[in-house]
Amino acid sequence: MDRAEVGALVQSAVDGDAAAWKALVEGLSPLVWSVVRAHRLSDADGHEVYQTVWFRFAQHLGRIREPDKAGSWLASTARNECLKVIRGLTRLLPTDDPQVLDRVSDDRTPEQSLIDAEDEADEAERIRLVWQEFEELGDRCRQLLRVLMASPPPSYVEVSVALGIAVGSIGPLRQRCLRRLRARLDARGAV
Amino acid sequence: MSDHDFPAGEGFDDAEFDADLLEEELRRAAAVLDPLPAELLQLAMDAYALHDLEARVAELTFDSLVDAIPVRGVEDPPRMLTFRAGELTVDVEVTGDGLLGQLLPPQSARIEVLGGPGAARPLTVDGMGRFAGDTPPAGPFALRLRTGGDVIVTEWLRA
Repeated sequence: MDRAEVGALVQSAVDGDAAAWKALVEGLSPLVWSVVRAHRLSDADGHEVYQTVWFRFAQHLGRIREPDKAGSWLASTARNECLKVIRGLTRLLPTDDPQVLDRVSDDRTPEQSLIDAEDEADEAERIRLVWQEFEELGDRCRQLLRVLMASPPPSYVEVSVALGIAVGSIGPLRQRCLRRLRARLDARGAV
Repeated sequence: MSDHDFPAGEGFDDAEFDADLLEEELRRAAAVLDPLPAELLQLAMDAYALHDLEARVAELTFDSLVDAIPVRGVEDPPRMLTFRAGELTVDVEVTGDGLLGQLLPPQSARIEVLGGPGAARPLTVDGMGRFAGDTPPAGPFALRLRTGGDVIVTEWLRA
């Protein structure tokens, strides 16, 4: 989302414009969701983090110092809450096994409806393949790409605060991760 | 998008184009296979009701999850939280059995636990500002305090 637009929407929402709030939620929810998913929490934990972030954003609305950076505020709040969940888990579970934190959601959205449409079957197959190979990437690439694929695409500043990596390294990392994904797809003969 | 990261003439032009396409494919895949659940979108819409111009926010200044050193062998330690708004300090302890806390300086107040827009449950408070509730908050929560003419809400947190 365009920063000037975000700043104006925040200001309107502070002044009581519910439509502005709606536009903010529509424009920035995918970013918050992507950050949550990038941290691979359980569904229950992820949903709670997502809610906490929006509740706190509503609470702080009139006090956010740089309204045009609301996207970064949300991304960084989401990251902090995700890290707290992970800390809480490691504290409860006497294990260093990263697999424990690596639980993948079981209730995937059924792609059945998409597959049902015959002319879209190829696209569905391709998408599933891309997703499968994406999930096999290393943690770092998976995390970065999961945030980058938010729609609308986040800014590099938002990605930076969402993952705690320098803005300048995002471009090269992205390039490398996508190249790796491409190589995996090539290896499966899916060009 | 990230053209500036790779100077022209280094042979990245084709790769860069390809990368954008692949990223776009991932974006489509995420929209189908890992979308934002509709009910969560709605919850964020409804959260506008939590925008409260009257209330002061008590900021989280201590969270045992972040600021305390874990004690080996202690399973499920209580979550200790401290919030501050001006002179007022709110100490909260969340356990599996519920929630208890103390206002400092001691003072009487009415306190509710909020669980989201429209979800509020009163706590019992004594004259010294000690409060307790026998249900631990599930999910995001905040405390709303009414003391004197003031309304204070603690920062939203996940229990």
